[in-house]
Amino acid sequence: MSIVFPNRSSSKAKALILIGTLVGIGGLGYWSGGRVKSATASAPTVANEPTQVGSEKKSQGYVTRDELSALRVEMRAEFREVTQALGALQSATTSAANAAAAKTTGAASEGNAESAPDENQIREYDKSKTVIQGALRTGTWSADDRRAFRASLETLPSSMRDEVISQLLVAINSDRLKPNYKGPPF
Amino acid sequence: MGFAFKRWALVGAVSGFGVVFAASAYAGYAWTPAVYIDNTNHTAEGSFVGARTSGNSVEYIGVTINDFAVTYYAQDASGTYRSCGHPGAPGTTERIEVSTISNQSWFRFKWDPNTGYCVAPLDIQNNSFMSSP
Repeated sequence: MSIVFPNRSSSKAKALILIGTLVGIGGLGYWSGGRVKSATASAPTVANEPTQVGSEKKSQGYVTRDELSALRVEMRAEFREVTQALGALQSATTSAANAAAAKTTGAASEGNAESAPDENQIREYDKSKTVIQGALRTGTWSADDRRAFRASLETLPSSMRDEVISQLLVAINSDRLKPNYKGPPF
Repeated sequence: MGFAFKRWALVGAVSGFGVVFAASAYAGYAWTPAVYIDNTNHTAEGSFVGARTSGNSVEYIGVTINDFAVTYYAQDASGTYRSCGHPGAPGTTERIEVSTISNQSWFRFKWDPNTGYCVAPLDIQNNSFMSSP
């Protein structure tokens, strides 16, 4: 729909329309102000009336006391769950950090022990190799060899121990050594 | 003479029935796999019950664990002996592995010919049909 104004009075008519529009908007706002305020601007109000009455007022933005209590219980439960989850996360993080620290410490101490074998360990290392070399000359791994070898193993650091065990097992599995007793090689 | 013969025949018959019924009391499938060594694939396998009931005094198979190693070993009927060890002190995995092996076990281990160390996977089976006779 279009409104046509005479040319000479067009500015006057435009002014009148603008004023009329502003007045209309203002009146509309005054008329609906109360309802808008109760529905959106104000916080929900707790109804003191019984549930039936409260449910009638619910459509007007009210929340019943029972509903509010339920909401509080639900919020408490959720808060508790979140708190527990945070606690579990914190303890897991602490445990992982402690384990990492312990592992680092253990590796460092093992590394120190490995890097500097004492005289006794060196002597036992040589002895274990001598036992293998002596057995290789005869091709037989005897119970006495086993006993002596095992006694040396007990004093050796891990890397030395693995080395001599490997030498023995390779010799056995290639038939250069054969146990003359029944049982484990060491 | 005739009475004595009858008496011994009766005793024999009773004993025979006893043996038959005693044997049938051990029902169920039984398997006693012997120790077998495969030098091509570097594996050794067998069961405790198979080695014990093999009819020879040569073959055996076993595993031992102590503070510094876990060692698997086997000797077949021809006298061939093979072994492998887990490097390093036994960890939780090795301890669980060893504790899994029982009187009803059949197992197979594989060795690395260059190091003598055990190579995964270790194969362990526990079966009712490998129980002790």
